[in-house]
Amino acid sequence: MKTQTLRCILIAGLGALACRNPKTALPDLVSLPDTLKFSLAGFQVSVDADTLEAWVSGPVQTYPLHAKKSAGSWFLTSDQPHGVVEGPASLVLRSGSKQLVKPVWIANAATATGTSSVYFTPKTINLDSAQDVHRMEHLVDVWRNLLALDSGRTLYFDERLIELGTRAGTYRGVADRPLSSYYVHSGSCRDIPVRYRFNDTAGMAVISAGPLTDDWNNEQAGGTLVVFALRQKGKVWRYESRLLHAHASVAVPKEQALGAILQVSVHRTHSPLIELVQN
Amino acid sequence: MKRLMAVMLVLGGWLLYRLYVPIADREGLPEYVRLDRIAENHQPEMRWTHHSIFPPDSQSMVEFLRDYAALWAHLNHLRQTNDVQAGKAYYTENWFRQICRNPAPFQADNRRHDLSHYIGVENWSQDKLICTLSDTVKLRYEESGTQRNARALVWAVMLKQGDHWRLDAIRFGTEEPMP
Repeated sequence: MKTQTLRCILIAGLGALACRNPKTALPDLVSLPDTLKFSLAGFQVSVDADTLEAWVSGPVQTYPLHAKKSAGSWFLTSDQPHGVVEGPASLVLRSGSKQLVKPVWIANAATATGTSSVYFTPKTINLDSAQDVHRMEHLVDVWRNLLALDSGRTLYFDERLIELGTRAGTYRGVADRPLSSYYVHSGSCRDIPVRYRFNDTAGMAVISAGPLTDDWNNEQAGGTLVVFALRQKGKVWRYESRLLHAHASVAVPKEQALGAILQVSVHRTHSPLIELVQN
Repeated sequence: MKRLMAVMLVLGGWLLYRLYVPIADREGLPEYVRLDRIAENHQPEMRWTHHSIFPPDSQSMVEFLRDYAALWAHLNHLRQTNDVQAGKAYYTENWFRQICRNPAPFQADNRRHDLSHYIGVENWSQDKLICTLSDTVKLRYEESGTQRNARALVWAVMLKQGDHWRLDAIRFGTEEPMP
């Protein structure tokens, strides 16, 4: 009984193995072009079979082929209307339990023109931190095949550091492509020129700072916070203003300003201490 | 009595569903909650070096290599089935549009496995969003009940979008047979 059970298990196991690899090889009578070009116009193969299934397993996807028998040989075509990801592929011919696999190369019939993908990083550069931008480029065709940048077909990527110069502004990496823009911002404020005058009629003092520029004479960005601190008789009055066209100003009551010590600050750049006196 | 039986059957079915279909496999859940059954056990040997101006850091590369291995699991699956949906999390929009234009689902019984990768990072952006690479990949084809190994050179553009590094473009070079 035990032997019979073991025999059953053995037979079942062998059966399972046989089912796993049911294919035997078709006789190799097929001569093929090295490259199958899509859309595939069709090609002829000599296979001694009554029925034939065929497909091409490309590097990324599988493309079924139509097999039509005429005058003793088979004619294979593809109705794949689009291009393919090019590369090594396997042509599979199957007739019943027989199968033949031939390595081929698949490519697109149409000559692809690539679109240049250009990336700039970082997109925003502050002149304090960097004066160059990282540029990366590669060429891609409409089927997402990378195209070589050189005629030897060995160079697919290019990267370089582009010197920016010292002018703040918006620049385009590629002239007709706004998305390739990158932005150069001015660096930190170099120094803070300060002026003031008393308006006796209004009883006010007008204090202004500007033009505020960086080390390369780029204007500081509009909206930058400018702090005017007035120190007098142990008290400090703090006035804030925002930069517009590199200038900022505040009007303070004359009694606060007269004789006060003034310091104007933009982040960590400070003006010298100035005593406000009326001439 | 019949109604009670019907209710019992429905409850029984629901209980079986709860017991046997793991939460991570249920339809309708967001992609980040579901387990990726195709990629989860795919662990080819991976080594890397860099030729880029800015070197990638090791921590970023751990994440990158995990996604790149998962991408290959999905590329192998895509090659066999033309199932464009399965690996969607690892494709950019441009790549996805391209493969969607191609054939309908198919079940080929010839398989491809990627056994090992030797990746050369060619460009690496400092914001960790762009990586271009060359990859010497060892492939195994199981075709017609036989196996053959090959070494192929592949160039690829990967972009970090959302949770994953995604394939944007690729170039397959020639293959050399290997023992």
